[in-house]
Amino acid sequence: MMMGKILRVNLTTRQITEAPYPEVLARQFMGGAAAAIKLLYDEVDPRVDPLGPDNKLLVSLGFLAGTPAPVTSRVAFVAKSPLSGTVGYSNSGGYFPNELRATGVQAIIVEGKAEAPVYLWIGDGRAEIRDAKEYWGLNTIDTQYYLQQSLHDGNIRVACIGPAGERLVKYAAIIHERRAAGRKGLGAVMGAKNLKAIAVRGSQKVPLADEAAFKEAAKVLYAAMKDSPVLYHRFRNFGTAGNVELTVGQGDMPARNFLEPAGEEYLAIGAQAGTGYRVRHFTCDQCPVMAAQVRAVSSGPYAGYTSEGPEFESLYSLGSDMCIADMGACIAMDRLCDELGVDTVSFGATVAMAMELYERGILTRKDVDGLDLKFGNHEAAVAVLRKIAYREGVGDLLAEGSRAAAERIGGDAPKYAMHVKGLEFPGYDPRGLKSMGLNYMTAFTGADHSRGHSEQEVFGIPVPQAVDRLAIEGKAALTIFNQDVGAAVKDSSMLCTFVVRLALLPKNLGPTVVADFWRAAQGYDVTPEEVVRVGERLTNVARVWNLRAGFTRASDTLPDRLMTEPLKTGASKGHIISPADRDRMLDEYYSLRGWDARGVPTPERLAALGLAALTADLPRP
Amino acid sequence: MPTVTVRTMFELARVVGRPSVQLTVGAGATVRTVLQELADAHGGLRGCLFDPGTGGLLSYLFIELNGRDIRSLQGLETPVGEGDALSVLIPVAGGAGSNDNAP
Repeated sequence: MMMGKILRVNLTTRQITEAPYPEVLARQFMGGAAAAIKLLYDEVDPRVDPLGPDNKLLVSLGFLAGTPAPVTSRVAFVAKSPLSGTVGYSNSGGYFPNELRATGVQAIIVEGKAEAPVYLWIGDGRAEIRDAKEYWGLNTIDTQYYLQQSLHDGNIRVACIGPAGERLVKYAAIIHERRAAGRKGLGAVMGAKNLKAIAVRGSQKVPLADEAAFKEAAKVLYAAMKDSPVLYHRFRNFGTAGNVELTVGQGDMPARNFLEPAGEEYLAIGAQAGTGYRVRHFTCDQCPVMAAQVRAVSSGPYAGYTSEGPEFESLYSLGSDMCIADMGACIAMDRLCDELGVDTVSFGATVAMAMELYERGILTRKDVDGLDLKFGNHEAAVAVLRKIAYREGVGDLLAEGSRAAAERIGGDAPKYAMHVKGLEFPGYDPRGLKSMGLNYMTAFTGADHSRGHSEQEVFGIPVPQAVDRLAIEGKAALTIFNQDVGAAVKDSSMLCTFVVRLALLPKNLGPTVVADFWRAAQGYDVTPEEVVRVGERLTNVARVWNLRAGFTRASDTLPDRLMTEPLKTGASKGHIISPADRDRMLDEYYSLRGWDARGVPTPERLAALGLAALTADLPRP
Repeated sequence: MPTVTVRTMFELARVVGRPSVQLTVGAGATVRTVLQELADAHGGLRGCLFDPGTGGLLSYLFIELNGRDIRSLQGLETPVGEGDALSVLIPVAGGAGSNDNAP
């Protein structure tokens, strides 16, 4: 086995220890997020206060990080989510992951709480907890810059939090370079630990069991990428913003807090419009695609703002969900979210809810600090963003996320909070995408497009088969396919989701590519079927942890709006996921998973997955 | 004589002049005839829809009729009727790839 070591960093005692990577984590979970979630299962009581010292932050790399394989410089951050209370997991790509692996580290377990702000320094063969008082209060861009300057090395890579993480905003992000592990509020977990940053610089080569076989596996991946009719030809030029045009065409891009689908006016924040703002392309480490679009605003009220994005989900949350069809405003808010360390999706969705509450009179102008918080008012949205990051005025309320804020407002307010298990929706309306809806209901992180994304419904990828996105039939099996294959290929092995989607999934090559890389990198065989089994194992471990945290079948649901209010316009007009649809899909989903009618994994299924030890933790019948 | 709304994107919309257009087609029309009539009406469109070598649809196109992938219906031979909505989509961040847009 060629995995790097695990660092255990106790911020309370200031002790750092290191250990070899446990073989069982490698064999059963293949590293990455899957291993981190198993560590969470083993080490964190699901009922802990997510912002208390007993929560732990797991930082975990895939087995391909730091190797010559392309599109694998990605890192998983895992903890109990302060936003949802579920397993909290977010990943991001860039340069930090490969640099961390070059220090010899595969994963970090951060536990306890420092007395005063600190940062964690990891270099070749050494790690230290260092004072971070001079960085506390800085935004994420300046934190990275001044750490590099202070340490006299511009090649140091830094993952850090901004003011939002320091103030425990429930959807604070972790930022490295201009990339965000944005969702689930893991930046607040760092803030609660007084951990401002993790700075890394290494020079070690990652050992490979069979370099020749590794080159062959890489050739297969490169060939699949080259063979894609869209990866280099279109995705590079438009990035994920191309989903605006696609989902407007499908009638599935939410607008006005899910009251309506985005119409053609939102093409003003689409990929085509975005090319007018693009100043250059950018990329993660060792990625030949270069699909990141650096966009700059050169006129109007937001002139001078530059952003590496916004990506599609942010164009929905900062744009259509708040009825803002203004690319300049979206670029500015994207930039500000990154600087302040705020998740763009939960921010936009929470403010969209507040805008609806304001227009309905549930929140008054006085409640929102005198702002005219109506849909479409981007100046007010920018003002609220700053208030949230610093928890000032109404920002202190909205910093809690849509579910908690609505509960605190009381009355009818919770009806307008668009979330599953406390996690706000991304940019795909499930009323026109039934498998996506089932995925939102059952994903272990809540309404999460990065788990079990319904590639077949959204993009027409006919693998395992072409589907009718408006039908209920067959969606349980499809959702399980997407969740398990996705978990194995993207969350465990940590291949870039876009390369998986554009180049590997159309040929159903993901598990095979991972198996070939695993054999070459780690030195022992695994079949593509066993790779998919890793994904299923991850899903079950996370499910049992969530059950122990108090989630039940009743938590696997959608907001009433999506179950009772049909879409009024567009190509998905008239569609909902009714409570009966929900129940039918859930019954079938649980049954196919080998779970009982409560959504509890059966001891037999757990045993078949090599997880018999979890049986003792199952809720009683 | 059914009237069909056709939604397009990117270069298709550029050639057509707008993202959606209404087209009146003959009785018994199919998805194929709608696309052919659209291509006849807009000179540069044919090359954006059809592979010049095979005559089939370009592999990355994703076509929905009333929100349903035409491959889950009768493909290009799916009949269209009054008030139908045909979406000709290009999933740049998804990539249909090795699909079955056969001639």
